[in-house]
Amino acid sequence: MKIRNLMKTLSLIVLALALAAAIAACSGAEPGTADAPQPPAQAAPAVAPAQTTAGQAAQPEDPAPAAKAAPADPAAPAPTAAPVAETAPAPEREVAMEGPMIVTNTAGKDVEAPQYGGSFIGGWPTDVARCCDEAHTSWSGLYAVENTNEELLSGNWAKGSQGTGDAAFLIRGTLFLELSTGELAESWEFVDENTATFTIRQGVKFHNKAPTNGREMTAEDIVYNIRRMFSTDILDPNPSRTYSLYNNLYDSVEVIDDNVVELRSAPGNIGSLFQNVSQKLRHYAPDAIEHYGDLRDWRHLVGTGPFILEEYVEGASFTYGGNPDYWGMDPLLPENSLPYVDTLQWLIIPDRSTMIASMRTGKIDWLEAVGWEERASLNSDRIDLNESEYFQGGRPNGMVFMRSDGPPFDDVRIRQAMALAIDQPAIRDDFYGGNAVLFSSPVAPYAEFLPWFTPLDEYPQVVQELYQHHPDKAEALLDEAGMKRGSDGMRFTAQLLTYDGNVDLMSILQAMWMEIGVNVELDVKEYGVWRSLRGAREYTSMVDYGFSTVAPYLLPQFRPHGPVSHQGDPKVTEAYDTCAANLITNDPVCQAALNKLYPHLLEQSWYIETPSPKLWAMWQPWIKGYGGETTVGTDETYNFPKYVWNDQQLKADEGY
Amino acid sequence: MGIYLIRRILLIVPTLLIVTVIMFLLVRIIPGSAVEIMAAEHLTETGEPLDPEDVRTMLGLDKPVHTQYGIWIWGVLTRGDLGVGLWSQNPVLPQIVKRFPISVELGILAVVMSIVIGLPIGVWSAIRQDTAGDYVGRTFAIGMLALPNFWLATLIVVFPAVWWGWSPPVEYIPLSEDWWGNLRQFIIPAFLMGTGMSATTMRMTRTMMLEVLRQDYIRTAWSKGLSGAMVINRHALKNALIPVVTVVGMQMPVLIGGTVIMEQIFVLPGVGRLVIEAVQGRDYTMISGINVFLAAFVLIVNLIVDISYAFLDPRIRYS
Repeated sequence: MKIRNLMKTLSLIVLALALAAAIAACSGAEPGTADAPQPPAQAAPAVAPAQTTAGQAAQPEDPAPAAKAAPADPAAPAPTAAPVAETAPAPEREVAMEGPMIVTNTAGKDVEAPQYGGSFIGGWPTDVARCCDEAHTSWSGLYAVENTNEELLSGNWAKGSQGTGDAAFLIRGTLFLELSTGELAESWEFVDENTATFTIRQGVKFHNKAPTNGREMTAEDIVYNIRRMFSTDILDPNPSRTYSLYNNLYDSVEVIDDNVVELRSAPGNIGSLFQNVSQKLRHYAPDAIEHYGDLRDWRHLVGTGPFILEEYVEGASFTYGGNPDYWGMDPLLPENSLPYVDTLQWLIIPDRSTMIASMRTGKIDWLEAVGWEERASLNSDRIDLNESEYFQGGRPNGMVFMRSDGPPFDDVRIRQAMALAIDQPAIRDDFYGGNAVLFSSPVAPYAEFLPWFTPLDEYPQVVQELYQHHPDKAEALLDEAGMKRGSDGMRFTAQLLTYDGNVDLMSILQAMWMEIGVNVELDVKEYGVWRSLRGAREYTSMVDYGFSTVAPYLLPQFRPHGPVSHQGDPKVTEAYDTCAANLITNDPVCQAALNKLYPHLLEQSWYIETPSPKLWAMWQPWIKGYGGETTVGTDETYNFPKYVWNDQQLKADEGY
Repeated sequence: MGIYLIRRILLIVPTLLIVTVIMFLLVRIIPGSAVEIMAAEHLTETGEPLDPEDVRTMLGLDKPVHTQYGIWIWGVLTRGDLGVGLWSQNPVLPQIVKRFPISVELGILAVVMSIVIGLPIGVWSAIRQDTAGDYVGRTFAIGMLALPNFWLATLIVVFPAVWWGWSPPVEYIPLSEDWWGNLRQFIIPAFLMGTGMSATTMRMTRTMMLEVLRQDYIRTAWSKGLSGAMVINRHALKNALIPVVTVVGMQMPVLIGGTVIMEQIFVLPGVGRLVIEAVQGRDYTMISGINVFLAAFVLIVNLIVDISYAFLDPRIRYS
């Protein structure tokens, strides 16, 4: 009996502990509070007609604008100087409003008047490789400082989805001058073929923290940062940000007037140098660099940007507070100072299920690279989420490159046959459920690249057929090339290096090649091994690789060091040299050279492009003034949060 | 006891040295290289090639392996320096030290959960041998052991979000800042890990209790008219616990390694996450550093478990 009592007691203890655990885990509230999230509402509140600033009744803006834009005028010459930006005084910040008010922005669109306050929380799948000093960081490390440290030039937000729509601002790597605006530089000018000048913006203050304590930025600070980046002795051994690669472009930089900086290049390289210096280099407080030696510790980070880094928990989160002294105004509503939100946070969520669940439950406001199946899942119960569609332009995989420095792929007929054997429409429709783009290379057809992009139906017939399914022609080409079927029905065997995450797609290709008598053996490696082997170009005949469209003029995959030919092609080299000589200063010449090259490039069939899957950026309905942009600039990934605002009332109304 | 302790501590040194040699060589044997990954990423990002040999030289990987090991181990022995991460270029040790407490906290909570669940069920099953309660307890234990905790974790993340609009917290809150917020974040992964481990604890407890309950001194205790609680707690359970403690102690280091998936799913920035990133980037120094650190931890935990026997069972004497 006593044992029974004891066991009853033990059972009760276990039950109590389990209940406590369940309550602790399931409650979103502190003890004694009741702020657990409610299920999301399915509809956004109606917006009552309101008087616009122009005195007209207006409708609210489309809540989910797609990232579609008209092409920029290809005949327009690149501007040589930027207009001086508006410097309207910052108005008093309004924290709360009675219902939405509609205003007309500078692009003539009627939009809800932005509100100040609240937060913007985005999800990142991985942490940055290192934070936070440009001279010591990796590419991903720069994500952490995109909102704290600024460049001379940036993307012009007024050209994005909320403005004229000329730019999608979806991809890092290239931004043409007509889509740029001054950031730390108020204006710029090309003086001669080796010289450019920047007029530095006045009244820009560094963050109000030691050791700068909010002092004003000067032209000397700009020169300090440029010289520092071209001074290789202070750089880490990690090569990712080694500006020494560009040392052959650089000559000198100096202050020639109170607020004018002169940049001089090696002969004929001012375009490339200008791009690297003005659109890829962030500026830091020299006082802080001198004081601390470098700014690798996030606590030492001092810049001029709209947000101040307040906390970095490695592997978990970045938290920023708004910079109350920020100089910038909203280019679409010039009377509004930026940023709108008080807090910016990036949460690092490596598990995709957790990321999607966090989006579903409103724990994060924004998420990019949502696949079509994930989107369908989210839309099943969160139809109120906003989204913009794009496709994977800079692809890490899904393109099969063939070595052309030896048999069998040194014969263009065999390369073309391999492409003709692939049923591209079937892959698009069946493997991706129709959610893929058949043709997106060599330049991705994003809004800003449209002048550089030729639609498939404008290419020669031979190129168009490479994206269709012609097994009979493939077999004929192989016969013609001397690759007859053997007694076992096979023509030849090749190896394809791929990785475990892409085996499904590669297996489909393998089966299609088998039908024309080509036995392709999949060499499946672990992700890290695959990255390493493809980087070292240690593959026998074929490799599952990606295609970078971040800088179409660089042609990285096709030049001699790329994965394509292992030899180089004279026509590619010629086009590259033409572009390098005319970049920025005369983009149409570069554009013409590339447009002439592309038919040759595609006809050579050095790579087989499988359909590019569509992706979506998704954001909560209370995040407004946003259309899906990720990179407002050449090299400024995730710098958009200063332009967006949080409708806190709507968020509360939806129970979050 | 003192001599025994000194001997065990001294034995840790050569064991660790052997571990460092094995780890240093193993990570260099696995295919793939940080240098080639860096070169490939640079090409993708900039369109400009890098000479891998230059990168190798800059990272100090151009020297013979034994020279690299010599430089590294000298730093470990003389300065406690585990090297600098190839990608982060930051010292490895502070990064591990920063993240290790998170994994340890998760591990400890999981062990606590396993004891809280496994021990009472084990005792119950033993004193109710071959009854319905015993069968239910054993079935539960085997069930928890059979279900992969990463699968359960995914279900817990996905379904409540769909059904009730709730998902686990994703913003890491340090214990020192807000214990309640911290507990809310850790409790579910700890519970999931604990349920899996509780099966072993339960089975071991049941087996040992059954053995102890048949001992003469238990019969004597009953015959003296002692209460059930007294017999079970003071006489049976304490004596049955020694092997259980061994099992639980041995689970702790396994747990630290096993937190990798839970840290991924529940957004806990522990050592597990660091391991994954290091392996994917082939960060040799980071991988070696983490493994040496964990090896030292395992050796120390083993030592503590061994010492704890003496406190649990007065008959055990070390000499």
